[in-house]
Amino acid sequence: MANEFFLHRLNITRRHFMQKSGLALGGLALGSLLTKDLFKGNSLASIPPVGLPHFAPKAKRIIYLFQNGAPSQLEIFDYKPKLNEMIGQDLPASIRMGQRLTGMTANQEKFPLIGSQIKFSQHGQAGTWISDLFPHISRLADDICVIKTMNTEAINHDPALTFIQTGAQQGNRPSMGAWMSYGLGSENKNLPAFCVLLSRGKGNGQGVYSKLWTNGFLDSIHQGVQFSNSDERVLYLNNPAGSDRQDRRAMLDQLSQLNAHAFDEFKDPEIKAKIEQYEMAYRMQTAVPELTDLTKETDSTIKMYGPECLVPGTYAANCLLARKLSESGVRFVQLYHQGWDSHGNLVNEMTGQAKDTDRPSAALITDLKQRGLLDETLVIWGGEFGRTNYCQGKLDPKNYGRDHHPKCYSIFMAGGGIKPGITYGETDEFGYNIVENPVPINDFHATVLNLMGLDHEKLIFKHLGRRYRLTDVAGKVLNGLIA
Amino acid sequence: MKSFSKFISNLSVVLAVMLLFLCVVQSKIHLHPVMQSAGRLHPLILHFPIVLGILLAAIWFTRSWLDLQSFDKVFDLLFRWTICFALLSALLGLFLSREGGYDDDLIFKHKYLSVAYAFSLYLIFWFYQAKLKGSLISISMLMAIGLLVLGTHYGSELTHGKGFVLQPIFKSKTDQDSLINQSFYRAAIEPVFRAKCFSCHNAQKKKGDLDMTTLTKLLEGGKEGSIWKPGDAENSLIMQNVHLAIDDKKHMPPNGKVQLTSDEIALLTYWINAGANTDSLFKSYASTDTLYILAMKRLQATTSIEKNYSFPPAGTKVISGLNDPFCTITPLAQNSPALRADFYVREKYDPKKLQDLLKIKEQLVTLNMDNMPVADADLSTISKFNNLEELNLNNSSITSNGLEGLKKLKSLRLLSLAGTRLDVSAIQILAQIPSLMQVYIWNTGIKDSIDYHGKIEFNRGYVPDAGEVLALTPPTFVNEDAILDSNEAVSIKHQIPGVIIRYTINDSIPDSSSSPVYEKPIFISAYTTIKARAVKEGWLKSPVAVFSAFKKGLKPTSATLLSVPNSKYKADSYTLIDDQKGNIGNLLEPGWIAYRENPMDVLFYFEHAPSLHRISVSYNNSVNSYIVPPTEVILLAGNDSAHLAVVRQLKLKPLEKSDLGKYKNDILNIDFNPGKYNYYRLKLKNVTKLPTFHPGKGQVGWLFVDEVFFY
Repeated sequence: MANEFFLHRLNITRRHFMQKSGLALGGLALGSLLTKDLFKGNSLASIPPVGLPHFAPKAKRIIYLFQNGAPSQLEIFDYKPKLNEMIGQDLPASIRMGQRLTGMTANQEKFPLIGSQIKFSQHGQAGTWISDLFPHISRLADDICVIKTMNTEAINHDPALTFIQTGAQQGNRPSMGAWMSYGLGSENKNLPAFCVLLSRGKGNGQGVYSKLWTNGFLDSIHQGVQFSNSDERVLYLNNPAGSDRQDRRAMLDQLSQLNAHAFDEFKDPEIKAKIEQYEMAYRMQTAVPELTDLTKETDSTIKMYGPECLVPGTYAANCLLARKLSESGVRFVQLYHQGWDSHGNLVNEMTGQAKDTDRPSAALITDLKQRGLLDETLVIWGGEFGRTNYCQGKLDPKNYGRDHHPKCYSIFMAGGGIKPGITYGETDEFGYNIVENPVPINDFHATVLNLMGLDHEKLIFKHLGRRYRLTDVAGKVLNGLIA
Repeated sequence: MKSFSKFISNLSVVLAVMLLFLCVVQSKIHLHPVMQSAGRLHPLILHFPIVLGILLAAIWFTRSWLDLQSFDKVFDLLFRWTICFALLSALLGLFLSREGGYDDDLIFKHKYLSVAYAFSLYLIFWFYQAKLKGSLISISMLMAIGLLVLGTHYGSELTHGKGFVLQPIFKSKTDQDSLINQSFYRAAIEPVFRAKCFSCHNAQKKKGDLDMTTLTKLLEGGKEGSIWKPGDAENSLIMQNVHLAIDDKKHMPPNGKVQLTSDEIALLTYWINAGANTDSLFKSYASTDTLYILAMKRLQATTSIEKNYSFPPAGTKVISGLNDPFCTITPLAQNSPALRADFYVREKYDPKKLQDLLKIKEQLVTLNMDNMPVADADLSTISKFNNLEELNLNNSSITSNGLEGLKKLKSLRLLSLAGTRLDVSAIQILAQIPSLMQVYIWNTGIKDSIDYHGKIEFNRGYVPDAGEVLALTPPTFVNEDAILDSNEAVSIKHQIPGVIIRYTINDSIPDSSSSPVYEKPIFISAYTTIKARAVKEGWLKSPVAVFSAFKKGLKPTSATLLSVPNSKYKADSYTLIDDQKGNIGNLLEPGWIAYRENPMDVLFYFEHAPSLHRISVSYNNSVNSYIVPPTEVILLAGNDSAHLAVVRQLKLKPLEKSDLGKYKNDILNIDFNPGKYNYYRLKLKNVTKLPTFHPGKGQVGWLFVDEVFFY
């Protein structure tokens, strides 16, 4: 048989070979006509234009109730009776597995376990475990989705905050809200798409700073707009004495002509952004007074949020304003409430913090629900990382503290297409490691983007020769969280 | 003839290389519309290689009937044709498959079997040309026909569905019995196994010696015995394996295969815990039974599809023409014809705008008019948006009468009416909207319970707990500055409408009945501490708010420190006369001067000696922080700084145990016989030994002063 093949091959002349090769190359060429981006990697042509959801969204808007300083999951959602049984015993090295610690407890000789000194009970049909610190949120157990397995990489506040807000620890990337504004545009053209409201509780506080709501490399119109805590929630919005709306209009028209002239000359896109911002500020002069007018709120609404909701600068007031902003089509309302960094005197501090936040947070969800808005508004409540299952410093069940813990922590979400009435993920009986369904920050971002109708792999901005995403090179959508 | 057959084989080479190449990079193929159309010819072309292939085999196996020369001629040409069509058909099939919408598994099998068929023909042709043994060619020919049969079988399943040919004979049981008449196992449990387990645990594959495809075999179990323990899911093998970590070797379904969803896990767990009954009928379960709910949930999940709209999209020009800052129209998503409209800013609402939206009346599915003064007349416009699904009319001016028009909206699913003036008659009207599911009627005229038992869910919203009485927040003092000019007064406000503010100015705690009611700003004549609290019917009285106001005195020309203050808190001497209060919460700010090592000793100078009778010293009284009042005051005065005389000297009463815990700003009034002096020298002695009841007993106390007033 080998001989026959040999003889057959003798029939293939050089001319024959060239002819067949030529034809083969032709075939290749014809084929490559159909695959024009063969060597381009992910083609840009498949990236959809920005400004509209990639697919039908479940949520239209987000209200992010950020609990700055990292509330202890072990005193709120992650019920670990084992820690009460083992109180005072050292954290087994087999559980810690060499986890790096902050400078505050790294030199501690012992890591005495301490269980929650606050009582837990089950709530709702799902039997969600919630501590007595949060009686109002407990009543909404069937509306919320508790995630017990959030985990992050950073062990200190600044990198952790920056990571969960921008998807990277370094602090040069756009914030979540800025990405939403970029990807979905603004609904209400008379208000910024991304608003930021600050408040602080009496507990040990950590800083919040404008890099957390930065537009990063995106156009500056996507930057978060920080509202003031004074009676005048948006500063410098009123016309100065002696100038009326016509004057303002005339001035803006002239200014915009000058700016347009400058744009023609320099072609700097920031000039266009500036013109747009002036125009929006002009329209905000009409839209904002309507928004910040709280006199039309009913007595029952005031009681629901608590009387503090009319005192500017409180968490309750910010929750009420967040509802009004969201109701008026603001894409992303970001609240920060400081004071959760309980390194010591934890029970006292957390009791105070819970008193500030429990009622207004629950009221916000209830209020959205009764207006038929909860289905299209995603509410997120949570911090930047968790707290350790052992005590910082000497153990005293009356006055203990917990250090930072990145490997698991709890948050909750409600509305906006999230699966209600479930507890997602499970931690080990020490509340230290995750045993089921981890939710890394990138997955959290991917899932939130998905709820907003955005494919996290397609929401891309090219900057300095590289394509950036909120989830960077990681992240997967967690369908278990989506209703 | 020869050149023709050569043409065909050359064409085949091109096709073969192209096919091979595109098979490798198929995910990157961009379909040109021409290619797309060509691809759609696949169902036609595919018949050629089938028929030709079979014919080819038939001629080969009957070659003894033909004379050799004509056999060679016919066979050669026919072979070339077959190869060419097999390749072409495979190529077109590849194009067609890029359009998507096919079962991944089937298309995978069909594609590669057919490609293999085409290339096997090529190989056999080569064997034939190399004049290999007839038996070898016969065997490979049979194998190629085998590939053809299998490949086309899967292909037919793609177009006609599984079991299409034999369906009339073996009519599947699922079609005959409706779900409800089957056993719960067949209706709900077996489909889970079929989707996720059968592929490895069937009569042929039997991984772990387990065959799950029939109930008898399933109950026999596998290598490790019975797969469940009725009533005990936790100790059932199947559930244990499901719950193992995903990378565990025993985790089921294995890593890489499609996993069970949490609902499926819940379903299996509940079913096993309920006794793993394989006989009881589906219909015997109540609709409130957890098992029933879980089973239905899964059935609906597998059948639900994303909503497709059949209406044509509105032009982008129309949409952008309608958009303005106060009314935005956006597609629900990219490439969706459905539109959403949002109105903003109540002041700018214009009913004409709503009529403009009639241009997109087919496409509009969501309309948000939250907080717009929509009147009943506008509802007749809204009723023309015949595909509307969601409508938000919260806080609008509509009444029950206007709702009649909405009955025309056959797709309306969600209606938000919170904060409107609807009355109870609205319920009957709303009940007639056919597809309505959710209505929000919080804060409307509908207060009492409603008599309605249909499918619509009426959301009544938050009802305050009558038993819960909340405390008011304390009132706020409007004044920014604590040091008041003579024409300034203290103003107090409270944000909640209808509260009464009661206050005192004599350091007593205001009560809710007899203390004076705040009506207008309060003027003070000297240092005054005002305590106020808010009271309102239905609320608990607020905590007390405290404000200490200082009356601005005469300002000295200069102040000179004669003793050295503590270096850590050293501030400029001017801070004592700058009419700026120090902040008790931040002692480090330069509002404060602190004394510990030395007593305070300050010389004040007036260029034009005014007539004075009192000097008031504002100091910090935070006893637990070792910051305590002075023990002794000596005030000297005169017109020559070198010769001053004592005008007042007083000893203060020593600290008492009850002073522990004090944390406030206090004032010390030093009265003297009125006089006109240029110089005043003020000496304040700090505590040298803290008393025994103080935590720092025996230590030196601090003195913090922020301001000195001259009256």
